[in-house]
Amino acid sequence: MRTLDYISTAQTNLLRTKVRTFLTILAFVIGTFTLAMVTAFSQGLRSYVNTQLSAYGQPNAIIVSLGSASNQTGPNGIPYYQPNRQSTITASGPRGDKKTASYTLNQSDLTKIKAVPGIIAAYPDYVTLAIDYAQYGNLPKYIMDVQGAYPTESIALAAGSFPTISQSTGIVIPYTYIQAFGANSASQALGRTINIQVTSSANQPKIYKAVITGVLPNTAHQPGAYLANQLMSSMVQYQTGTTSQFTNIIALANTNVTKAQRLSLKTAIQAKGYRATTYDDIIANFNQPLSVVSAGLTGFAAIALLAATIGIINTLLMAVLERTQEIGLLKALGMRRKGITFIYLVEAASIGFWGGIIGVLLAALVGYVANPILNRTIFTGIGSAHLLTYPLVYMAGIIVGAMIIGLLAGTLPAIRAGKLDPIEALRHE
Amino acid sequence: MKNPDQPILKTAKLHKSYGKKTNRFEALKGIDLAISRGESIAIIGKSGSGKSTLMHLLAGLDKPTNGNVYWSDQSISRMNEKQITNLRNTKVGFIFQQFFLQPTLTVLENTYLPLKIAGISSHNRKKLAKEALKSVDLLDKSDNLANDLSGGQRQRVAIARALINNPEVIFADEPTGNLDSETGKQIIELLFSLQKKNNITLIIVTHDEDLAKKCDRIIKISDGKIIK
Repeated sequence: MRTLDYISTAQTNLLRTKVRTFLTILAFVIGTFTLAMVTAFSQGLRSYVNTQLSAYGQPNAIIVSLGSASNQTGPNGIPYYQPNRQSTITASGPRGDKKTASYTLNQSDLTKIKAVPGIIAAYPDYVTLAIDYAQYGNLPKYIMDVQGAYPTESIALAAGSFPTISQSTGIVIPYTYIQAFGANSASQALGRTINIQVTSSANQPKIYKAVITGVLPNTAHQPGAYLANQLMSSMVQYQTGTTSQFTNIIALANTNVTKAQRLSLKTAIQAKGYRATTYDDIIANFNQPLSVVSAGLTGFAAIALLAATIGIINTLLMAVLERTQEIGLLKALGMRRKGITFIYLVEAASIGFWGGIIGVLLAALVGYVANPILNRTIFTGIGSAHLLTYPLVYMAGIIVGAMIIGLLAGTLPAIRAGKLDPIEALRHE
Repeated sequence: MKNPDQPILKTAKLHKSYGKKTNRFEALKGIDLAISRGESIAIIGKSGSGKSTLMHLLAGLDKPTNGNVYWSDQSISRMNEKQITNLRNTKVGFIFQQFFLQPTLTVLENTYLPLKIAGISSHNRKKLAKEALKSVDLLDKSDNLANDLSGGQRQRVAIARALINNPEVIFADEPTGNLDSETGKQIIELLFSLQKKNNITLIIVTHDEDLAKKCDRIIKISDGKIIK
């Protein structure tokens, strides 16, 4: 028989017992649907997480700190006491923090990091800065987390841009602060000057003026405001009395740095005795539990598929039994053993195919209905992106996988059909 | 050129037994037979005489325990599965008592089944099936389901199916067994006329004395031996 004849014969055969075929496929659909939903969910969640993280990190930035090199830590990574590295910085933060003890880096570390080939710039990262409040005009005073903005920040802003070198008092505010600063939209907030109060270690408050140059994207979790480097430095100087000690260094590579290059930069920095955290490390931290969860859910889908596989075996065994005479006839008329086997294998693969395609289409339909609802309710802040995503390759993979499972399930009945003796088969009632 | 006098089918000391040791049952006990091209043969005998077994061996549906079946001097007992299925597909036509049409397929689809198995294109097999149905006068029923036909019509479809591959030999196993006598007669007339027209060797296994008498030769089997 021709290949097309095998395929059409298999479909005709499946249609002969419509209800049974339908039920067998339905059982399979439960498995493939679950698998497609798990894939859609975990893929969507991954890109959701990545979108969220994009407001925090930039791919070309590497966070450098002390504390990982073997000469700085003892057993189980416990750091040694290093008198010249330890500092106590007094600060008054929103949670009432007064003292922050930490390993500190200094200008000589900054010079070393800048010297690493591939690093184009390095900046102190003053994570210790805590402001009292931020206020626009006579509106209420709000607390706000702040951090330093560095050149080459690559976050796509809702409006405006990151402060340039000349915008020494620039600030990029979180999306959620738009109304707090009296604006109705992100673009309306641009250019407004806000007052930021910082209290020194001597308990003396001081007001700094900051001009809004940009608004962060509307992500579900909002990072703190980004302050222009110069403004940040002067606040830190005022609050702690020094800018020569800092907890981290932000090392910047070219904006088009690849993942492999990031890894080699990380290795180079670590070789100098520092701890380096790349964008990939941050992503991996978030993705790892996600992978575990999706692997677990995939396991459940696999169990559903396994049960459906038994259904296929059962259906085909029954079909072989019912069509024994027909198999005898086909053999008498000159069909080879492997031809008969092939008919049943194609039938089994067809059940898998239909089960796969219906499951995937159903899942896509659920996504089509659920995505807009999810975007409006639980998962706001991902714009037009969808929580449930259906990458074509994965969906095609599910369908092909379903066909392979069908084929495997069909092997036993198909071989049994092929082995039937034509005379016995023709006598079968 | 094939020698027209050479037998198309020949058996030599054909033995067939089933089972093992104490349960051993000898169905055929040495059959020597030669059948010419275009000849019509009736194999008769009581049930259990071995006549069906003989037909199965001649048609290559089964292998002899001992001895050989020759198709134009070629031993089919030594053929592998591929060769023997190919032989059945291209040189043999079958007509069964129970017709064995596939109920969910149309008359046309049932007719071209051997050609579909052979891998003939859809266009060609449909054309040939229509010719075969025309010769059994059922062209107008081409698109009917086999289930919707009467017994006689079904057997005519089966004849068309047996003819479609232009076979050298047609095996008919009790072709009138499921038909009333009048319909049976018509089927037999049709079968013989087509056999003569196409110079096909016809081998009929039957109980039916009247049918057997119409054949060129009658082979009577009893207890696994030819007795006449």
